[in-house]
Amino acid sequence: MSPRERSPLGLLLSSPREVARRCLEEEGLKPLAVASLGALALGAAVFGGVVGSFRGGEQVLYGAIKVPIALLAAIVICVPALHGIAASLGRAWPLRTVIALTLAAAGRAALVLLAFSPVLWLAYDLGLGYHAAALAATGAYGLAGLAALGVLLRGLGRGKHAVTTALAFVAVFLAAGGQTGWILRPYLVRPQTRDVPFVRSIEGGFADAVVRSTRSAAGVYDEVEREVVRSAETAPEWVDPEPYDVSHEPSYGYEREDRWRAR
Amino acid sequence: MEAAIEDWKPAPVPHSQATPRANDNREDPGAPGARPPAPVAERNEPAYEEPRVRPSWALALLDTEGDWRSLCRRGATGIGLASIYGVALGAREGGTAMLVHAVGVPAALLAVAAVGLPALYILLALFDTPLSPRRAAGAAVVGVASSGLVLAGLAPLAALYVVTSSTSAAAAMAATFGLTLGGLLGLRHLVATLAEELAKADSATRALAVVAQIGFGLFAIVLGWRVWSALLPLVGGAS
Repeated sequence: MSPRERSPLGLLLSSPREVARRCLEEEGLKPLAVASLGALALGAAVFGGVVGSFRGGEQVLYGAIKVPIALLAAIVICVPALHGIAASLGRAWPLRTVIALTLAAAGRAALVLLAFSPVLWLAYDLGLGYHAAALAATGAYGLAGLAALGVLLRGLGRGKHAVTTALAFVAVFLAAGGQTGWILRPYLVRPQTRDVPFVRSIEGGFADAVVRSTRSAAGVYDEVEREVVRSAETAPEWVDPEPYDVSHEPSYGYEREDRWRAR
Repeated sequence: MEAAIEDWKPAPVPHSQATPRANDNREDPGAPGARPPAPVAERNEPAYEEPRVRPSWALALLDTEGDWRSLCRRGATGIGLASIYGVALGAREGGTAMLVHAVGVPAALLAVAAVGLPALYILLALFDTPLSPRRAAGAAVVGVASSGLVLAGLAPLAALYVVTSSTSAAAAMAATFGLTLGGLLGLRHLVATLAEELAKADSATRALAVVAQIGFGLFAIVLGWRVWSALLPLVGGAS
């Protein structure tokens, strides 16, 4: 069957070049966009539900709702930036072309997430630990991103600044996806967690984490971090095996629990 | 039986063209009757052709042709697009902060175009480069429009970060990244447009022009950042 005879879903899976061509030449955009949106909603919902199944209960439903919303929100925020960057770097495409290309890329990624979902669910069911579960989900997300990149790179073609534009696209999507994902967290919750909110309070974000880490690396600690570091003294060794010298910190009248620090 | 063995002759070997092999790399493509080279198309996909993209308003905005009136119109559009980014930055505080940032963001673009480019044009004219004032102005307008397009596109992302960041430092960092990206892409476009105009000059003139453009680029970066840090409260300007 030639690419031109395939359904939009079939094209998304097997012919990223034909998908990119249709987006750029605005041929059959409506069925392609509908298929991409449907794939995005289904694939992201199933993947989110599987991630939520690590804890189970209402977290399955929460994950199935939040992952598609986070992905769609990231796309909505990204598209104007991608349009502007592409225009500045020699690809002054119409906005609808950028929307179609981005949706198609996201739809393809969501289908890859859908393909990984049964494997991930089985791994969780067989007793995968929390951190390994997080890594597995992140790995699936990364591979889905590579599938999306296939559509974008074919859309960018072989002209000048193709690599720079692709890198800019990836950076913008990571920034948007990271922040929208942060806002709608949590997704992967430990099974022993009793009450799980639909979303937590925002408490900073990706930019805050980068700033805090930079300041901590330079030895500048905020009041909250000093308290966290101080409380680490009393934790068991497996939490913080490295001793911390608090002789220069103000005393709060809290004695060190030396029995937890037996070497 | 012995007669049958004597009469036996081996079967004729078929000619190579009768049974072509898929991976026969030894076949000389120039030889008569040789197979044509393999098509460019990959499996299940048609042969690659450059897609025919329709023109867009962004393409018209980044055009360097036209009279002074159309240049002014495109420059004003670029300024307006850049101010959208300022509105996004001011969303953290709201109210008059949005207006202050909306004025401050395009101010740096105007400063570079109004202060830096005439100086660059004079320097290039001293080197006897084939650059007219209209072309130089066209390059400046393209730079401003390109920056405006990028900044307007980054406005939703910037608004997301500046509104949801819990600390001012994080919001400032996010704002700075957007300003840097928009400014650098606009500067790149301006310099690339000038380079196209200067392609007609001789090699010595072109070399001098490159040095001048590098100096202009550094000046533009420092001036742009000076203006932004002075005018935008979010990145350290007067509140």
